Formats: sequence, C-alpha cells, structure tokens
Amino acid sequence: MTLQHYLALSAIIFGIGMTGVLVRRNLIVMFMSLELMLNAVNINLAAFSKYLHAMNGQVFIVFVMAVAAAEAAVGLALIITLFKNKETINADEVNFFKG
Amino acid sequence: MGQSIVSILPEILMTIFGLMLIVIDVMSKDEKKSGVGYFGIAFILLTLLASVPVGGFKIVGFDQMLVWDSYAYAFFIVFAIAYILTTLGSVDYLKANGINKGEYYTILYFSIIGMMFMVSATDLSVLYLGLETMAIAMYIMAGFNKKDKRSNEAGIKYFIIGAFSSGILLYGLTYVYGYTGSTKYSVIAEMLRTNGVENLNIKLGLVMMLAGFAFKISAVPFHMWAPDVYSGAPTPVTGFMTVAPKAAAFGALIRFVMVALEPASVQWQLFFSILAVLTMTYGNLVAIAQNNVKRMLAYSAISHAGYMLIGLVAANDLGYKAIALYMIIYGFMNIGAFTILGQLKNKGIIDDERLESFAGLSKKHPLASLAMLIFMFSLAGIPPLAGFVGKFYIFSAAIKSGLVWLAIVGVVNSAIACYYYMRVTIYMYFKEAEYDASIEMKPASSIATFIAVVFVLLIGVFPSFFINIVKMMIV
Repeated sequence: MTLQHYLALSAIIFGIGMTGVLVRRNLIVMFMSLELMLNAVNINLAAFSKYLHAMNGQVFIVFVMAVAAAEAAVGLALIITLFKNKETINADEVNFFKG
Repeated sequence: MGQSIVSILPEILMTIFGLMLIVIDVMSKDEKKSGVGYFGIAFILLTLLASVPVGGFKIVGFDQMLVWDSYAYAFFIVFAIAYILTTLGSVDYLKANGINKGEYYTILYFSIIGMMFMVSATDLSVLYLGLETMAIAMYIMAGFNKKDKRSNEAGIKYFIIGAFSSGILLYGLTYVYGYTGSTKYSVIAEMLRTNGVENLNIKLGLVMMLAGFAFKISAVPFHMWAPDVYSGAPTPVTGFMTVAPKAAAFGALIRFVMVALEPASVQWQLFFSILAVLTMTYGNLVAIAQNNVKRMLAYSAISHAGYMLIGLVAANDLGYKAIALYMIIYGFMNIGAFTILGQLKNKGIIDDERLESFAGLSKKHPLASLAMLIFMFSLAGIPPLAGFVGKFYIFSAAIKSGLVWLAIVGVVNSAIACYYYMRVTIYMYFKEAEYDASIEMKPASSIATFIAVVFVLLIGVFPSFFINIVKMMIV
C-alpha cells in the first residue's frame, strides 16, 4: 500500500460524495454525501500524516470530526424545521425562490 | 506560554462574556429578551476597549498558529459595528415577527468569536475551526424564523452549500498540507518558494482552496446560494450576513494570500481578477432586473464583493487598507438600509419588500425615507457620502498597481449600479402609493439607523480622520 492508493481511495470517495450532493434530491441523502466528502478529507489527512511522519494531520482529523458532528446537529435541526412546515425533504420542492 | 495566552486574550474575553450571555438569557423573562442583545453590545464594547492595540504590536501565539495584531483588531472593529447595528435593528423586528428569543443575540455573538479566529489565523487548522464556528452559527441564523418557509429554505440552502464549499476547501487543504508538509502559512510559503507551484497536486489543492474561499465571499460563479439565502433569512440577519462573515472571509483570505501564497502571487492575482470582473458585472446586471428590494440588495451585496476583490487583486498596502475601510463603510450603509427594510410593513401582503411598497413613503415617513435615500446614495457611491470614499480608495489602489483596466471596469459598474439604487429613491419620492405600506420606526431601530446615518455622513465629509485610523491599523 503506497500513498497513492490512499489518495486514490479518498478521491473516489470524495467524488461519490460530490456527485451525491449535486445529483440526489433527498436532503438527508445530500447530507450523508456531505459527510462522505469530509471522510475523504480525513483519509487524505491520515495518509499524508503517516507519509510525512508529522502529527498535525492526525490532530486535524479530530477537528474535522468534531466540526462534522456539530454540523450534523445543526443540519438535522434545519431539516426537521423544514419538514414541519412543508412536509417534504425533497430539495426540488424547496423552491420558494426561483432562479 | 504566557505570550500564547495573550494572543487569544480577546477571544477568551469574548467567550467568557458569551457564556455569561447564555446565563443572562436563561434568567430574563420572555418579554425582556432584548436585554440579552443590549448586554451583548456592552460586552463587545468592553472587549473592544480591553484589547485596544498599543502601537504597531504583534503577538504571535501557539507556535505561530495565530497572531493578534492591529490588522486583526481592525477587522474586529468591523464585526463589532455589524453586531451593534444588527442587534439594535433586530430588537423591534424580532418582536414584530414573534421570534423574540435570547439565543438570537447569543448565536450572533458567538459567530463573531469564529470570525476573530479566522482573521488572526496563521495556520490552516485555526482558519478552518474559525470558519466553521462562524458558518454553523450563520446556518442557524439564516433559518432562525422557524415558522417562515422562506427562512427554512434559506437555512437549508445555506447549510448544504456552505458545508459543500467547506468540503471543497478542506480537500484542497489536504493537498496543500501533503505537498508542503505543514499547515503553517510561513512554512507553506517557504515550500512554495523553493519548490514552485508547477506541481499538479499543489495546483489542484490551491485552486480548490481558493474556490472554497470564493464560495464564502459569494464571488461569481460561486454565488448561486447568495440571492436565495439573503432574501430568505430574517431581514436584520441578512444585513449582518452581507457584512460580517464577508469581512471575516476577506480578512482571512488576505492573510492567506499575502503570507502563504506570496510566491504564487501572479497566479492568484489572475484568478481573482477574473472573479472580480465577473462578480461586479453579474451582480449589477441581475440587480437591475429585481423588483424585490431585499433581493436587489442581495445582488448588490454580490457586486460589492466584486469591488472588494479589486482591492485584493491590487495586492498592495493601499489595497488592503482600502478593503478594511470599505468593509467599515459598507457595514454602516448596508446594515442601515436593512434596518429600515426590516421595519417596512405591508398590510395583508406576504411579499413585504417589493419595490412598490416604497411608493410615496416620503410623505408618510420623511425621516426614514431620508435615511434610506442617504444609504442608497452611499451604496451607489455618490459624493460626499461614505460609499464614494470607499470606492475611491479601492480604485486608486488598483491604479497604483497598474491595473487601470480593472479600475475602469469598476467605475463603469458603479455607474450601472446607480440605476437600481436610484430607482428605490424615485419610488419613495416621486410615485404615488398604490397600497398601504408603512415604516414603523421604534426607538431601537431608530437609534441603529441614526448611528449609521451619522457615520455615513461623517466618513463622507471628513474621510481623512477615518483613513488615518485605518492606515495606523493595517501595516
């Protein structure tokens, strides 16, 4: 396993996450795709950290995970308030403003 | 260690006060929640006073992870102005819309701590943490009016696109880290100087990072979230969002490109000069077509980010000073305009802020109309108001760097912008009212508007005093 393997894996996961956000229309699935993007970042950081023999990449991962947790709390709360008002979590039906 | 603590002393103070704010919120009665906001104003003023810079000081802390200097202080002033005016302007808006809650002021307050960390960051991890502290608070603020579908939509859109852009920024950041072996700006600059920026990995990393920043400052073509979020969020929050987070993103971006990307200055200047032209032109052209004043001001906020990008591209001292000065001026005039917009009432019409609501307002509310007129003229950049001073310095910075073409594009754009700002004043002064709209100025929002008007006039008439202050701060 070389560094390139890890980078390729992370690029694939990042690509899946990015496509998910852009293509899927269910807000929960979009949200999960966002988490995938952050996980790709974590894989990258861990791989570089090991390769460079520097710890700050791994410390960074802890930060990213903490922030992702906070984001999950806020994001789910926003989705719930939306669902209470509109009874939908489909991104295409969230279209009060057009264009 | 002692120096490290001193370097984050303002943030520590802000955090302690912020925690006190939560306690005050719990202790105050439901109808007296505005008190939380007034305490917030007092706390932020106290922190401002306690951290006054003495001379050209610079305190580096935590092994060069962040630095507290007069540059960070100058941006702190911008955030404080934004907080004070927004809080005063929100008090009546929140009561009128039945969302008078203490956490409104507290979350707004905590977002400023994130912004302060962003501006003083000299390490990518501090930058990221500051950015997210700010962004998560702003997602909540955008969706604060839980019962309003527009506010829900603004919150969700801001959240998805904000998190998406942070993901892109982070992914770019990992490549920068992998290539340079460090997250410190100074080490990144050193590595770029010795190894160059021709490597594909570092190019990818830097472009993704700068794109992430461009999302945050809503530069075209990374702007698509801005109009919807700005027009859906509660009106005073929109005023805040167009000023403080944008100032923070600019502050962090300037430090990042100035220190870390100094060896790659040709490349990023090209990148941002293209964005500046696109942002100004697109923002202004689309703003012309808007019939809703809030949405029009949202597009105008995009075009103002374009003007500020000119100062960034100029990449000289004058440019950075001009951005800081512009941010202060823009804070006064834009939050002032949004305060008045928040007090606009239509009877029985949901779409509150359309242009027709302004028809004939000058007869019913001469003072509020006059204030709105001053803000609109200032946003358009007509002398002798503050907006002119800001634009003048931005464009002269561009000319000093030999970017005459960019300055010309900017001037042409501010001429286009006059059209849609003037349209509001024409409606106010020369059209007859079609239906019953009114501006109900209560004491708190009147004070906010008054402060904003006074400063817009003062900076416009006596610019040298304020310019000297900014010159002293940003070295």
